[in-house]
Amino acid sequence: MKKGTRFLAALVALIMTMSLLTAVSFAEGDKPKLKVALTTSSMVTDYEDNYFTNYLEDKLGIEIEFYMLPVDAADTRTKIAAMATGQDASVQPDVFVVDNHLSAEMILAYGQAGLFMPIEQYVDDPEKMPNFNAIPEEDRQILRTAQTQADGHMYSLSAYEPETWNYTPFRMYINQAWLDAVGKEVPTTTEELKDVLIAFRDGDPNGNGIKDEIGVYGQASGGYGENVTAALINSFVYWNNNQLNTGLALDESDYKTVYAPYTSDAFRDALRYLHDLYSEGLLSASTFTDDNTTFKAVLNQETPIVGLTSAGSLSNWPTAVNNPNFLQMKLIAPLTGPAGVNYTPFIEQWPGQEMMICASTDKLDLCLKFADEFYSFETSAIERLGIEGVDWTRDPAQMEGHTNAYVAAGLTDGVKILILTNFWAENQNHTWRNHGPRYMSLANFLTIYDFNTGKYFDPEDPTQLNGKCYEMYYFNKPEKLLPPLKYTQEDTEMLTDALTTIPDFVKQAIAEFTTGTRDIETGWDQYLQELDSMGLQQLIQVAQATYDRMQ
Amino acid sequence: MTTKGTIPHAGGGAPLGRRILERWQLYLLLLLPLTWLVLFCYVPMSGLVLAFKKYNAGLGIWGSPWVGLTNFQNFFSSYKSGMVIRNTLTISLYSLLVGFPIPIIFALLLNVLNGKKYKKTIQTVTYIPYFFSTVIMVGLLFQLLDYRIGLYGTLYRMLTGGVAPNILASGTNFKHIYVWSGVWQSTGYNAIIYIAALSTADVSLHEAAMIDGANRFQRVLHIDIPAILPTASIMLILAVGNIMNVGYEKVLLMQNNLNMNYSEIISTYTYKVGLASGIPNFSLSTAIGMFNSLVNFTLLVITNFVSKKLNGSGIF
Amino acid sequence: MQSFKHMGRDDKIFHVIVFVILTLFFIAVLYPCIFVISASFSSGTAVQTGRVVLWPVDLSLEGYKTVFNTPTVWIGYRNSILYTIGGTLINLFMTLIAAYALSRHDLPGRNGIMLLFTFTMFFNGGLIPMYMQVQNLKLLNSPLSLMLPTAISVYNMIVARTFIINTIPGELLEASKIDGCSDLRYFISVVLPLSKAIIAVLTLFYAVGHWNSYFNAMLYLYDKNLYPLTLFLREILMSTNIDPSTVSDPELQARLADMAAVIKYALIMVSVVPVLLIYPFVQKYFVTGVMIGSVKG
Repeated sequence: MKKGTRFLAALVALIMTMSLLTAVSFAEGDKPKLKVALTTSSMVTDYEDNYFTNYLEDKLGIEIEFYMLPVDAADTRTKIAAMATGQDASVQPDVFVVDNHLSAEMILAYGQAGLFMPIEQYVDDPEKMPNFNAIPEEDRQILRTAQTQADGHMYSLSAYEPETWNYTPFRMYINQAWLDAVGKEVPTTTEELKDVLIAFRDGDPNGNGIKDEIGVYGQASGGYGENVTAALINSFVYWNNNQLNTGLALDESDYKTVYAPYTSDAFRDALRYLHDLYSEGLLSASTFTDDNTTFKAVLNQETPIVGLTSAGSLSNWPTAVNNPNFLQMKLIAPLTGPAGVNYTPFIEQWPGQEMMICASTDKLDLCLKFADEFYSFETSAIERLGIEGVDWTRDPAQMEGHTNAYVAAGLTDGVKILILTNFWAENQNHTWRNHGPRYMSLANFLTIYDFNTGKYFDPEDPTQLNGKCYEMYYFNKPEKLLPPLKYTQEDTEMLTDALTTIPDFVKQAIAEFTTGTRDIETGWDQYLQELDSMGLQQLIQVAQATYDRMQ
Repeated sequence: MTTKGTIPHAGGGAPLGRRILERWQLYLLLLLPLTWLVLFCYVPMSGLVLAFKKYNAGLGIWGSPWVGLTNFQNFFSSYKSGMVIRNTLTISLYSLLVGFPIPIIFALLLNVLNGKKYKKTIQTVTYIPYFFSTVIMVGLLFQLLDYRIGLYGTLYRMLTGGVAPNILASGTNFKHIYVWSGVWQSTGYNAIIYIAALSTADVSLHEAAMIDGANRFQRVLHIDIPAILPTASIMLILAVGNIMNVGYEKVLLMQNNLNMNYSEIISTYTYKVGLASGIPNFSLSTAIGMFNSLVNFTLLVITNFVSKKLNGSGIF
Repeated sequence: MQSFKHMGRDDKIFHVIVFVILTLFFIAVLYPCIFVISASFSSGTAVQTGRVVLWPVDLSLEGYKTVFNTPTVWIGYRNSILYTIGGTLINLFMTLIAAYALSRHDLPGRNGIMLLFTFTMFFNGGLIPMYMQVQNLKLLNSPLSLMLPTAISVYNMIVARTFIINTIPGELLEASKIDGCSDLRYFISVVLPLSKAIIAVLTLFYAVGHWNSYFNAMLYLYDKNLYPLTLFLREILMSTNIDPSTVSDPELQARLADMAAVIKYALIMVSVVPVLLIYPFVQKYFVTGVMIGSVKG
């Protein structure tokens, strides 16, 4: 029996240690407690001993108790789905802060399921939410529209920071050193590009004597502007790379009709162009197969092998500022296609839904006060930029001699906020890493010094591209874009198959048409038929009705 | 060493009641496991009704409305269902054909190997990659198989002088890459159970066989293999009963625009349905899961029956 | 074991073939191990741009420095160790008693009970009812939620049972019955000592399962101080695979992924160490094995 007893004793001892671990006692204070479910970040070292936590607690006279949600969006979704079913008031938090991890459909579903509280009556009440109502009318309407669900209720509060850099991630870079080597100018049209690419192919611009140059290279599966084929297709027709509304857009003849750009003749022309580039050996098929690591690796080969690529983040060229591969590249404007189209996939920064109030809370007023606090300029700024006086400053004396890319480009008067540290690239306990509702106007953003590089603005610095990008890309979009469509639950269910299948299928077809697995001349009708059999027509009808309802 | 079926039933002819009473200590031992089974398996199993319901978080599992077989119909009538079932079966049968025997062969060979240190080193090292998460292994795999900058591309260029074909761009290659990278990552780990089984083989049998002049290969065939056969049978039954389950994580990471027709499987499809429709569709995933389980369970029962007939080992 | 010199020709050839096959496989598998070690000692830039092929490039300890300076990692480490030890002990206890009882041919209703167990390998209610059950049992946010729902892996139980049936001779049971040994005593003094190899395997399987699992922790825990290491590891690994539509600022996300790349491999190294440490202990039982013959004699 000895063995068994020892075994049991060990077991009991362990279980007791476990339960001790759980019994973390919370210091009893007389301040009201608010239980906040918060999407965590692995880069925040401490939430209890955290500048932002303490700042909110002091300012509102509350004590925050955390209920941690996972970092990953899919995980957060799973966890909230479980919480929505197992609604148990004793463990339920008062507010959710979810870092845009829930889709509109989920917010609607859980709102209707009674997990989230409808809050439209408080949102428009200047007594309850003074800071929110102080947001300039035009921007406030954008926030309100984004928050309103298909059933007319608002269940969430949003974050809106129109940072122009994020709107046009499909920024194209061409190898300037190669252009010089083959004696060509920067291409401005798709035809010129082809001409340049042929010169790249035949002229051994990297000078290693091997024909290893890749003309056009990208990462089709990339989510932040790496799909170079989408950038090129937009020289023929506007298409958002399926990143919103399953790729649907407004017909440019009336800006009222919803249509699928990937069924248009212009799109077919774009595919012909891509196929032409491919069969001439000017576009690499690995664009369709590579993952992010390989993509970066190819961009950063010791002997450069890429002629043209597109990418949202300069982090694809690590330490871009002295990365020899990046320093060869030059940002170019969207190319003009044969029909004069020169769009870029425009990923409008629609307000992300950040905070929900739990329907079971018995501290509604406190929740509203808490939520509204995030919209004050000071809190919004701390949330994003860190501790005032340490991480950033608005002291005019310190602005002396500083400028940013937008100011240099003449887009705004001068710098009003100065970033002092590069805390975004570090583990820290200053903020919650931008999780939570907030508001910063475009005007305010343009006056921040160019903080993407974590160093002071230098017009000679090839990595400080925000101003240039704004000029070259920001306006290359149709007059009117299709806003995020909010389908009802019934519609979503009916369309499940179409919503699941079509976006992937279109991407797959682009790859197949380009590489010739599908023939663009003989296979086009079958492609359209396949789309229809997946429910495209039904999807367009519902999208149209939804768009009309939202107008 | 005769073990199977030699234990006479205690009091073979005694009435059932007495036979049960005699074994009360065994039932006592089973009390805790059975309680666990009820609490954590059979009570939550009520959730299976979701397959026949339209799940609504607000109404809960029991309150949600009944929809009959709609969820099943939705899956089978969806555009991709034929393709995803076919791909799932292709991949899992291939995995079974390759992934099942290789760890056994590996364990047998390892058992033959002379040199204790080298043997232990191989054992330990082959066991490690199992712990590198899928994301890492797939990333590494792509890096190796890149036709320009990877090991594959470099070797190809060295040997032939030309640029290698892009094997990742060909959909038909998907299953090979998937299955063989699985062998690469988990053979060592999967062999552990066989290594353990071999370690219990009777040493005296080897001695006797050597005296009879059997060479090492013959002893593998006639001593080692029979020693692990019962374990292998059970592992095979369990593996066959798992045929419809191919996890989504690795496949999802390995999917690209050019292999989608070969790489979309049931689990990735279910995953995407959940993403696209915004709300995790628990009803549909329960229905699909139930379909998979029915197939798996049926296969398991059949294999179990066959195995019992053939060599006497089975689960029940 | 016979030395190579004294083998016959057939045996020599056979051993050479075995040696060559195993060595080739060994090299193939050694590669990712070396890669991860090298990557963990290389600069983040070198790793991200695919310049690490075999040996470290731009030798750097920044990954390890960051890992060691992150308090969350250490809290996670401590929790993971506790959950693994506690969970594995519960697993072993529950699995062995069930496997032993069900290994007995003379247990009336044995096949029925086996079927009850096996059935649950295939049919389960899924995530929602499980969450509700854990909640109803008041286990939410408790370390027990990571140990009790997974107390038995039916798969491992079947493996253990097969092992017991096939390695412990029936004669032993008969003999002990004649000696008047009770079923419990037989379990403790005969079955357990003879099952060292399978207990070693079970320990390994279960410990590895606990060490690697993150899903239940993600679902049931909401206090960061209770998080296991895997949740943290997953955050780091997933940050490079994020759907940009679910983040509010993709540029900042890209930067985060950069940071993640620096510490990814160091973190994997740190998290693999414990599973490497337990393996030799388990191996010991394979090599000595249980000699049935000696028991009989």
